[in-house]
Amino acid sequence: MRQDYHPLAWLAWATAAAVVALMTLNPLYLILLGLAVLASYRVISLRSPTARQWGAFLKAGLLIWAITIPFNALMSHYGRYVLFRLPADWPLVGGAITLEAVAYGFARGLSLVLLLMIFATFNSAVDTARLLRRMPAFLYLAGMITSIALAFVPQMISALQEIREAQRVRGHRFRTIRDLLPLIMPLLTTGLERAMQLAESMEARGFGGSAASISRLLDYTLKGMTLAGLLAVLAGLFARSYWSRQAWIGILLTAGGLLLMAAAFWVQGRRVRRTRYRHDLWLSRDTLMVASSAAAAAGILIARALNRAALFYYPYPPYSVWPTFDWRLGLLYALFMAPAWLLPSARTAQPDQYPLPREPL
Amino acid sequence: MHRGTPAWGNHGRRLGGLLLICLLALSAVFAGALPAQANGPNRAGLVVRFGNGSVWSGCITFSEPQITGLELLRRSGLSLIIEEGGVYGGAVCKIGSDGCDFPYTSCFCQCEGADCLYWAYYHWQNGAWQYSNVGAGNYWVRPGDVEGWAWGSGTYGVNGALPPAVTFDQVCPPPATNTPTPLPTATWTPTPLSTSTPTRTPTPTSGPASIEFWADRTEIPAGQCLNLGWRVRNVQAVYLNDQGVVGEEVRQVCPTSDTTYVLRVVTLEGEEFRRIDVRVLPATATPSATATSASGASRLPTIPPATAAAPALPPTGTPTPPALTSTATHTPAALVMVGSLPPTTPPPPAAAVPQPTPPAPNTPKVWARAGEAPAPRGAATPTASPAEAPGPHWGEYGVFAGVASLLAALAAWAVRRQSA
Repeated sequence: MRQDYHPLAWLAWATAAAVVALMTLNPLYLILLGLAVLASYRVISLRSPTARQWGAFLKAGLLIWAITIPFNALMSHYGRYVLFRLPADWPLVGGAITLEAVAYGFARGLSLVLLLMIFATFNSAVDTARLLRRMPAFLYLAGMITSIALAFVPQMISALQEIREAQRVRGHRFRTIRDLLPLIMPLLTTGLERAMQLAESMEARGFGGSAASISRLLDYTLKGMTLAGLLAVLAGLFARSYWSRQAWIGILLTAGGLLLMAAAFWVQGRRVRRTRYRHDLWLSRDTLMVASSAAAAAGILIARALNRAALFYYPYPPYSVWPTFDWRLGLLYALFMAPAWLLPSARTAQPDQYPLPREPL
Repeated sequence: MHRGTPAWGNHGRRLGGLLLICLLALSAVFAGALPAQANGPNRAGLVVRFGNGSVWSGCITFSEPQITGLELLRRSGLSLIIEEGGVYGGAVCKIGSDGCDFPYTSCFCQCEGADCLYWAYYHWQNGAWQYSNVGAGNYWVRPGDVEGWAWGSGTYGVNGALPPAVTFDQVCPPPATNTPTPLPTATWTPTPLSTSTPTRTPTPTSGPASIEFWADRTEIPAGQCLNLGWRVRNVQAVYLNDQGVVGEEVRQVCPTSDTTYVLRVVTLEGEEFRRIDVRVLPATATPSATATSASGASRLPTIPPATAAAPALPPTGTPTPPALTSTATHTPAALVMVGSLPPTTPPPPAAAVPQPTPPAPNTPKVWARAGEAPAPRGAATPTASPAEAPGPHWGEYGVFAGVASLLAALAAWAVRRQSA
C-alpha cells in the first residue's frame, strides 16, 4: 500500500487552498490557513526527499515578507493610527508611520508567503513524473519537454549542493564574487553532460516514433486548426476586456477557438497509443482530501457571496484597520489541514511497496 | 556539519552597510535640494471637477515646505477612496460620488477598454492645465501651485477631462492684511465667490456671513427630481450633507426616499446649519419626460433664473411643476469664472453674470429654516462623520486566539504522529 496521496487529489487541494488564499487579505484567516498549510507541509517534508530544496525556497519567501512590512510602512504615510513620525524633509520615507501601513504590508506579505508554502507543499508531495502521466495522449511531446523542464531546477539545486560540499571538503572558501567561478564551471559542465545523456537515452528508447503516420495534408490542416483556435481564443479574450459592453463577441470567439482546438487535439490524440506500467490507485483518503478541500473552498465562496464584507479587509481609511473574525469561517480554513491527518501514523504504517529514494546520509 | 562559509555572511553585511550609506547620502542630497521653509502658512489651490459638471475649488494651507499631490487632495476634506500602493504612491479611485468603490471593484473600474472614465490629474503651469506625468503620490506640490482633478473620459496616461481654468489668485485670494484670519492648518476656503474682490474692498471676509438655502419643492413624486440651491458669503467652508461644496450652486437632486438636506456652514464664529426636509410621495402615472429634457437645457449658464422662470409648457396636460425647468442649474465652472474676474475691476452688476439668486419671485421656493441644528438622526448629523473608526473587536479576537491555538496544537500533534 502506498503512503501518499494521488497526484490529482493534491492538485485539488492546492487549487482550493490557493483560491482561498487569494480571496482575502484578512490577516486572521490568513494565519489560520497558514497554520493548516504549515502542518501539511511539515508532515509531507518528513516523507519527501525533495522537501529540503523547497525549505530554502520558503526561507526566501519569509525574507521577502520581512522586507515588505517596513517597506510599505515607510512608503505609505496614510492612516488614523500614527505610530511615530519621521522628519518630513526626508525624501519618500519622511512623514507619519501608520499602523495601517504596517497592517497592509503584513497581510500582503503573509498572503504571498502562503502561496509559496502551498506551492512548496504541492511540489514536495507530488512526483512531477506521476503528474505528467495524467496529461492527454496528444500532448506527449509537450509532456516530455515539460517533464525535462520541471526536473531541471531540482536537479540543478542538488548538483549545486554536491559541488559546494565537494569544494568545502577541499578547503575552498567563498569570500568574493570571484570565488564563485569554481562553483559555476562544474555546474555548467554537469548540466551539459546531463542534457547529452538524456538526449541519447531518449533516442535509444525510440522517442517520437510511436505516433501513427498521417498524410501531409491532414498534418497541415491540424496545425492550421490549432493555430486558428489559439488566435481566436486570444482575440476573444482581448475583445472581452476591451469592448466590455459587447461581451458576447468575446465569449463567442473564445468558445469557437476552444472548440476548434478540441477537435484538432482529438484527431491528434487518436494517433498515439499509450500503455501504462504502474497505475495510480485512488484510495478513500484521496476522496476525503478532495471532499474536505472542496467543502472548505465552497463554504468560503458561499460566505463571500452571501455577505461581501465577510472576507473583506482593507486597512486604510475609510475602512477599518481592525479585522473581523467569524469562528465558523475560521474552522473552514482549518479543513486544509486534512493532508496532515489522513495519512496513517508512522508507527502503524506498513513499509512502502515501492520505497522512495531516501536522502543519502 | 561543518559550516565553512562565514565569509558570505560578512560579505552580505558589508554590502548592506554600503547600501545604507548610499541611501543616507542620497536622502541628504535630496533634503539639501528642498527649498527653505517659507514664513507663514504655505498655500496651494485645488480644483476638482465632478462628472455632473459641478466644480469644487479650495485653498489648502500646509505647514510643510511641500506636500504630495495626494496629501493635498486628502486635506481638502472631500470624501475619497484611494488605492494605497507602495512605489507608485496611491491611485485615486473615487472623489465625492464619482469613481469606483475600491476594493469592492477595481480602482479603475470604469476605465477598462474603449470607454475610459477616470480621474485625470493636472498641474496648472504656464497658464494652462498640464496633464500630470506622474502619480499624485509622487508629485510634490509647492506653495503657489494649483492642482486639478477632473472626472471624465479620456485615455489613461495621455489625456482626460479638463478642470475649469483658474489661477492661483482666484483659488487662494491674498489674505486681507487688516483682518486676522485664524486659519488652522488644513482648512479650505470653499470658493472664490465668497471673496470675489479681495484687495479692493478692505474687509471682504469681515462682513456678516450670509447664508441662503432653498429648494423649489419639498414634496416630489418618486422618480422625479428637484433643485436645491444655496449661496453663502463671507464664510470659511460649506458642506452639503457632509460633502464639501462650492459656495454657490443650484443642484438637481433625485432622492428616492424621504431625505433631509443639511447645509453646514463654517463661519469665523462657529458653525451654522440650514435644513430642508424632502418628502417623496408614491409614484403616480405622471409622465416624467420633462425631468430628463430639463437636464439638458438647464446646463446653459447664461439663462438667469428670472427669465427662465417662465413655466415651460408641459407636453401633456398634467400640471407638472414648472420648477423643474425654471431654475437654471448653472455649471459651476461658470461660477468659478465669476471669481476669476481680475481684482482690479469692481464687482460687475448682477446682470452680467448668472446669479441663481435672488430667487425669481414667481418660482415657488422653499427656504430653509435658519439657525436650526439638524435632528440627531444617526449618520445624518454632521458631527458623526461617516468615516468613524470602529475599534478593535476584542471578543472576536478572543475566539480567534482559541481557534488558532487549537489549530496549532493539532498541527504539532499531526507532525509528532508522523515523525515517531
